Amino acid sequence: MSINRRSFIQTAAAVTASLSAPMVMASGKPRVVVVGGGAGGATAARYIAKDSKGAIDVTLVEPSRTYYTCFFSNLYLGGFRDLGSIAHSYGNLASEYGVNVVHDWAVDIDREGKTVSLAGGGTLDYDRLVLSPGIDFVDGAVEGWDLNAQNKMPHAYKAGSQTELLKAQLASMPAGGVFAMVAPPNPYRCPPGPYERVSMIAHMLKKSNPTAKIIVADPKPKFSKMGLFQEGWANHYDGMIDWIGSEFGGGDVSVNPEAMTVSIDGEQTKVDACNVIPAMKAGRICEMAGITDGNWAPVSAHDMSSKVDSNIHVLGDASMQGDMPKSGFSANSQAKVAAMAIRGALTGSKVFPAKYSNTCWSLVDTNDGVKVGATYKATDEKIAKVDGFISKTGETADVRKATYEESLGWYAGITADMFG
Amino acid sequence: MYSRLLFGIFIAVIGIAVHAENKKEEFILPSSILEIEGDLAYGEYLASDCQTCHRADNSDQGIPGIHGRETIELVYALHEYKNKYRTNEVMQMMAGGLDDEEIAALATYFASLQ
Repeated sequence: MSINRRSFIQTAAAVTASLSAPMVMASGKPRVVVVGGGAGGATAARYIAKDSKGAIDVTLVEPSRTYYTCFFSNLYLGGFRDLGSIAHSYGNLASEYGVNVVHDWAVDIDREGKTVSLAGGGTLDYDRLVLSPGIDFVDGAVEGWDLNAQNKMPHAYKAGSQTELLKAQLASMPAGGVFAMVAPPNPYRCPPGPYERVSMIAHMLKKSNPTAKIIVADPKPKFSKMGLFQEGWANHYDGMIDWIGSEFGGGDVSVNPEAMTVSIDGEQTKVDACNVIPAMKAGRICEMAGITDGNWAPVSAHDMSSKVDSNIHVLGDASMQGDMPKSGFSANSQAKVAAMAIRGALTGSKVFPAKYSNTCWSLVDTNDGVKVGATYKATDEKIAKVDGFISKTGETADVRKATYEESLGWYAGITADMFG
Repeated sequence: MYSRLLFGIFIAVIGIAVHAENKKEEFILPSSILEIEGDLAYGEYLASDCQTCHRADNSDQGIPGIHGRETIELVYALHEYKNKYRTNEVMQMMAGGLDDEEIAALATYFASLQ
């Protein structure tokens, strides 16, 4: 199908070349197509365009005209940010950096012909392809839940209308009502994310609905920054949060979105709001490209290129790379290594050894920020951790406030780094 | 007599070390480090990691602007973080992963941005 379409487009293009040849064909420059405009894709598009100074044609394919960052969407739930403050457009990438921004879905990839097919009917040729599609959910991961139920029990793990919906449902809980979260198994996007979310929801409920209860059903025995979150929950939200780990049946969960019930370890509870965060896999376009192994797309640690096809680079959550957590910071860091490698391959620019870093900040309550971070290097086997740190329990209020303020600086920095 | 002299020197050395711990202005880099010529192109690549947090517009909300600062100031700051004379854990980790040439390259690059 895609080969036929490509053949047709090529023929059509040849026939009409003198009248309406597309820019990319006329320029003869190497072409990079980036699929997905989040922390990985937007950064890669910007750095390739910026640093190649017009020598590479960069096209970014992203369905949304307004991008809501998943990072800081929990702070919106907690009332610390409004939705507009986590919304970003692609205008600067187009006007300042010359990126060709196409608002469409990539629906097929022909690796042999090196083309990307779009839902709107167009086809894009590439010399190098960057896939940064983020995550999709594993079908049947939580019994009783599928995407048809996402309005009754939102996942809110792709920011935007889902996050708004969850916030509205939390706000309309009756006094003393019950909120339940079904947490995901490893590996998943943003390891501290579900627990920062619990903190932010507790912060909001403590003010508006102080007798409300929060139940977390978790298929894991422990989680990211566990000691820090549990310390914070005891300090700020004593008695409100009931975390049920795998040792206590937290992984034995089913939900009924119609009846608004959650069954944990055989015990059924009526809930007033429920956030189901299912098991995750690479964004579906990776499967369509045939570059996944299980749920994720394995990549080389040296340049983030797919282990199946070296002309495709996979960034961020979708990639299987080794020790880095699936985070926006990681995707941004990986994008810079891939951008450098792609420029080197297409224009002969200098390529330096890959270095990666990540830091994840989380907010537990007002001015109570915590963080975890690490640096990484490329080995032939994987991206390997070199060094790291984590906030300590019992830190002073001044340290925690400085950590929160640092996270605000980071948000401003990374979004400027992504969108220009 | 000899051993008492040694002991005295030992105490004096400890004293200097403690003094240095308490007063960061005592942190002195040898000229061999200060004289390293930074590789601008390598600095530009390494700097991309810094620019996730340190904004090009030099705004300093929560995280200071570093674009266009003096080379020697940046070299000192990074070595002070690397040696834990400055306290921020993210910066201790980031600087801890850099060698002397990489610090020189980064400082040269950021100083070149006005």
